Amino acid sequence: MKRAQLLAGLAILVALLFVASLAAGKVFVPFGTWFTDDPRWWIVAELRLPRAILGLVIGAGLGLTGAVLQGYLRNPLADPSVLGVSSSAALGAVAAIVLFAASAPLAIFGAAMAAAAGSMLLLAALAWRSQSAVTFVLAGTVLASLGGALTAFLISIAPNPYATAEIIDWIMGSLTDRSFAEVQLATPFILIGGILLLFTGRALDALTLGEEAARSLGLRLERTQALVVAGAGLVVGASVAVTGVVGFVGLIVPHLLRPLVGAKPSALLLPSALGGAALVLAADSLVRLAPGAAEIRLGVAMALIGTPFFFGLLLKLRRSAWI
Amino acid sequence: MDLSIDNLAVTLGNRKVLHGIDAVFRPGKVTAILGPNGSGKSTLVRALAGLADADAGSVRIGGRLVGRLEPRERARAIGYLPQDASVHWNILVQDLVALGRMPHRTPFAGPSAADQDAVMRAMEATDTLAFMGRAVAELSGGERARVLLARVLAGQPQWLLADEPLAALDPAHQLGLLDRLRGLAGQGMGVVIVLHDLVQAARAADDVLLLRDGKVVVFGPAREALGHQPLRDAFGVEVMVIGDDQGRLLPVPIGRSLPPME
Repeated sequence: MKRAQLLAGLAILVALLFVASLAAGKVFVPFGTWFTDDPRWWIVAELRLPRAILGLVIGAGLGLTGAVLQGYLRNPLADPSVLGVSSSAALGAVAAIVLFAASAPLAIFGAAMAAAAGSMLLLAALAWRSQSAVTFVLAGTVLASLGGALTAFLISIAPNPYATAEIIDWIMGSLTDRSFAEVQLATPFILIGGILLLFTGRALDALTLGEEAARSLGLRLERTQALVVAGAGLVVGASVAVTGVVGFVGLIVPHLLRPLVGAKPSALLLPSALGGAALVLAADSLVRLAPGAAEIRLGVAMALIGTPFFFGLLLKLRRSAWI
Repeated sequence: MDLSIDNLAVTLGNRKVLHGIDAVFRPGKVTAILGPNGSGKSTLVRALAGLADADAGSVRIGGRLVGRLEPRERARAIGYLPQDASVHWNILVQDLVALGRMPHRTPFAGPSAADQDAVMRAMEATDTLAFMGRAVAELSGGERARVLLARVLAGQPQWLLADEPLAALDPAHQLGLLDRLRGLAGQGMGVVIVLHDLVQAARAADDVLLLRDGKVVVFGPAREALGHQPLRDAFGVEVMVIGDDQGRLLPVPIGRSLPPME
């Protein structure tokens, strides 16, 4: 089975990158000291492990969300940012930092999730009763622009450079200094959202024929839309609430995998989750290996890894005349 | 089971597209819907498929309101081939045809033997088995049209509603497809197709519904509905009626009618 082999291969890749993420950093922790009382093990267990778990969960969630949104909107350009949920969640986090000087993970997470939930409800209200994906994507784009504009405004009134640096974390995405508190906060939301999204597979396949034909096949488009809004909202909202906006994963992972698994939307979902996890783990390991005291932001590393792959893919696809 | 519409009125945007249509379509027959551009043919077929919101009136299958049926049940009974032949992802031909089985399949389960069998039969009936393993982008427009028809047939519906299924086909495949539709009707399926070609309608249809401005001009046996006066009323054209070797009367448009005297 080609698909089973691919899934197994991706799972092994994710496992290897997970271990690599535990090993990567400015301090080398010999494998002999792992699971011992050696104080260096503490670096792995307390600093790198939560970070690796978050990278795994968030990468999987964003990869899956990207595959679902591209299928739902039948648009290869779609990614988790089209819903406006990422910019709204980032706005919530930034507002908590600037307006309330919040620094506790729970406070920032709560503010980001509240903003994400608000934008989801607004999106659902705007697209309500419209079974067309066009209304949906327009509403999301407007929300994204609004979130971006308000975030820029908050940066302009940020009280001090510390707050500005903190804000940039939320705009560029970062897994630095994340603890088990963030893991516990975000993981349940991402898991529930991911499960909701996995239920859309068959509807996405039917939408390959367009909305009218999909409805004639017995599909309830309003139910699909509800699953997409709730699932993507939970995954993206919770991800942004702990790491900030991590772009690129949701856009490029489905494209990288389509030549391997075929274009059928449902067949892309699980591989995209694994591929997303692999990409975020790889990028987050890379940012720690860069020289200098400050780490590169995750979003930047992702773009540096993803772009060459993506360009290579585009050149290949251009020859097959299908995008 | 009859597919019937009673006093059906449909508005799209601000435009009243259908005005109080009454018709009863019978299974085992091929019914062609014809009419000028914008006369409401596609909307009528969409309404029959349960996909258009009616302002007034009803669509029933075997006496039950189509709009009240559970969507999967409706989809098993009525197969609909839209005019829009776009396929948004470059999927494999057999995966596309298998989409037609969706109303029959249980969530998260693989295709059953019956599903696979129905897909093969549908591909056989549309002469598309040779495309197995090819991706949609590798097909010509006409080949794709046949694969899309196979998708509908794979659902084994009691009713087949097709909106301009001949549009992308060459003459040989047009004739082949009409023969297959006649064959399906012969097996008891109800077939309703939107056509533009009067000659093809006369060859293939048992009954013809002529629409103009959202109203029925005439609905009856093809021989009568495709006569001089109904075609003049519906299209504003004059036809020359020629007989073919099987005794069918084929109306060939030869000119526009003179406008009626005011």
